Amino acid sequence: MKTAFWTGLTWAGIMLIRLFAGGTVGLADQGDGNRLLCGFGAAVDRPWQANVWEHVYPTWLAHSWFGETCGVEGTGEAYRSTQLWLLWLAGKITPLLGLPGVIDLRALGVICAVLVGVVVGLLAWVLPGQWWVRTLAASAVGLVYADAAFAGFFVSPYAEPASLLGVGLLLVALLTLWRMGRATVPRVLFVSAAALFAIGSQIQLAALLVPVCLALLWLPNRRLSWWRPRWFGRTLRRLPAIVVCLALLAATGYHLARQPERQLEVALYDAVFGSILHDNPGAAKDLQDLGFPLAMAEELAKAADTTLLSDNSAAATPLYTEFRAQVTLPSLIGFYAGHPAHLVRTVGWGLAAIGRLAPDYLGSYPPDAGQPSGAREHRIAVYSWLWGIFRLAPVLLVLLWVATFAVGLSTVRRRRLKAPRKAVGMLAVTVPLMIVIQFGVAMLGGRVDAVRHLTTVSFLSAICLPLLALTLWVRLRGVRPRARLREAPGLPAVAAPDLARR
Amino acid sequence: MPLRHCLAALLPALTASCGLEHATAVGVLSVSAEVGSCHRMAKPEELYTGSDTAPPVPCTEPHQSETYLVTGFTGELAAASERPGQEQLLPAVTKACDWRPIRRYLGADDRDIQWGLQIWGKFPTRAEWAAGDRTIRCDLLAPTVQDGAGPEIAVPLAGIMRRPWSALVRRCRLGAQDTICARPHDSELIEPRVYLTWHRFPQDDQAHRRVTRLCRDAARAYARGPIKGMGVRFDPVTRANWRDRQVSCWITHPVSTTTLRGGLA
Repeated sequence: MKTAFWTGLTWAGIMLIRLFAGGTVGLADQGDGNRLLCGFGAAVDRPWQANVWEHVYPTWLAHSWFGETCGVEGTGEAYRSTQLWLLWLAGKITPLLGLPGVIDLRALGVICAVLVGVVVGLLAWVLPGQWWVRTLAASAVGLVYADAAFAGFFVSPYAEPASLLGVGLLLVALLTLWRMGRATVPRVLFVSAAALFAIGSQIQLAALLVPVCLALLWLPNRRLSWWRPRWFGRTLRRLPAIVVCLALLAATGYHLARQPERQLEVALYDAVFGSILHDNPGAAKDLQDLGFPLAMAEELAKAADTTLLSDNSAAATPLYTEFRAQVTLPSLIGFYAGHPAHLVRTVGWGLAAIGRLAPDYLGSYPPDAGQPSGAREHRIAVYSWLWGIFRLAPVLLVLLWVATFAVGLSTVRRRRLKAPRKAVGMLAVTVPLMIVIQFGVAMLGGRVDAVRHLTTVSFLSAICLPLLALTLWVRLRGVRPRARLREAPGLPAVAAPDLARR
Repeated sequence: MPLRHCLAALLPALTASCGLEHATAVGVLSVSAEVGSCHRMAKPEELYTGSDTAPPVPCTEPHQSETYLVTGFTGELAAASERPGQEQLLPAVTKACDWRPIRRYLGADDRDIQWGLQIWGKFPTRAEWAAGDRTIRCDLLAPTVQDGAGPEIAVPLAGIMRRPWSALVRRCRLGAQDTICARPHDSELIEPRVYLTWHRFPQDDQAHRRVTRLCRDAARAYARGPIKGMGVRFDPVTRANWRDRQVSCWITHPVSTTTLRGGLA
């Protein structure tokens, strides 16, 4: 407990120092900030013609928004995210910290720094091993949060802080669930709450539902072990997890159904015109495969590499109604399933995006920081530095995921390992699953803005490094020299293995 | 059930879907748009949103746009029960917002030409559309007077050409850079252009003398009086380009932020 407290406190302090000492750093707004913060009756305090991609403008002043001016891309549709909770809290403590405006993102930075400390502290608590092993492992995760690739999000108007903290909390919750070797109702609920917080932060994190449900169903409940027959008991002992999974499914479905239509529209447009038709000599043929007649396909192919808002966007043509009716998420999945070359190309873009690790096209400093426009900070950049290898060869990321999964599986399969150590292996199995499934969902939106859409995947990939090391440590500690099989005259042959094990 | 169980059960419900009911202020209906009304859209997001239900502001207060025409959607688009996407509406808005009423709205005569104004259309919100509103509000977007600031003025555009602040919408130059006359400039465009009625191109120096004379006459007519202490200049007229038969003349003067034309009536 003491280790956890001091580790958490240290990392909260490190986060505060790296975000604020020597001037605030954060992440410039790509234009998404307003949809999240306008609901608080706030508007960013910046000059009209400021290039928002280059500088951080942390202060949001009171402003009255009318009609559809507040929402997703001028549609008035509310953007729903658990990040709003953190922002609400930031609004409450903004005046207490003596900061200007309705919400100051520096207050959000303070909250997130404390929460990073909480997550790291909890990790140090639930991880197995001696105090120094737990401190080291939790600190390696703290270092991911503090890395220049991710820390900037904590002083930004994006939904990523809730995603990153939610995913961190989910890892803690999963370890808590598994470390006793049996599930309990409160622990199952803890996992579901952490999962919902993460899933609720961003639409693409809905994909977490699958690995989370698998994780919940992995272990049976502790108190329901007396049921017979065995198969029935096996199901019943997982009843709390099954119920929670169904609730999670319903909640995620409800959350997805309430997401702005415009977001899905943009994603589908980008997937087709920004990815499938990008640099594609057979664009018309591919559009035909998506279900368009030849004449229409040839016409739509002219809009390759446009966005929804481009001057020559296909959305401005009468064909767009047909496009919207024809192109849906299932049809897009079907297209990729039938076109492996496109799938490989898209996976390549995705891996390259994770290889970049951070949205390096967005500035880190406020305009008065005396830094050049668009300058990036590198106060703590251990993982960014290590990521140089993946930048050069993004395909190595797959190797990292597979290695983590394999070592995790190997650890889980060791029967004599204690539950807390086995939990590390189970986490090492689950994290690559989270990565792969989320990667797939995020890349359905195509290569446009893939670096940001894959932030959580990049974060989890970075976590794979310490997780792999920790799992290896757990796995290798479990290995004992194999006892030599001794001949035991007078004993039956079947007893020999038992003897050997002793 | 212990308290911790209750709390734990509550958490998923609380995190199910967390949207903030938007703190949108009460606005006005698009259908109530009136010609001559001024609209404050102090944030770029407000300007670039297709609909605008903020109440109009007095035209003597800072604003970004002013309505010069109210019209409506027609045809297939208007028949849609659900509002089409803004990408489909905007071309229709651009088409519906006729530029011809603008000169009359600004109070321009033959010697006045507006510059730096843009047409900016607004359409109904989705809810208004569903209720049958098909209004298109055609606005004039104010010019940008200060570097780094957005479009903003605090005077009405209606009849502006007859007022001293018409410098906001006239074309001037600082060196070779075009600007509105309300910003520092050293020459002002004379309207209308000078037409050359020559049958054939004279010698270069003779052409220069003739155009100078024509521009001086045009300048006096433009300024409605003598142009003492000021000069004229024009874009070069050569044997190669004279067949255009049009020359833009400029009155040159010390750097100022006013117009020679407005308010002289």
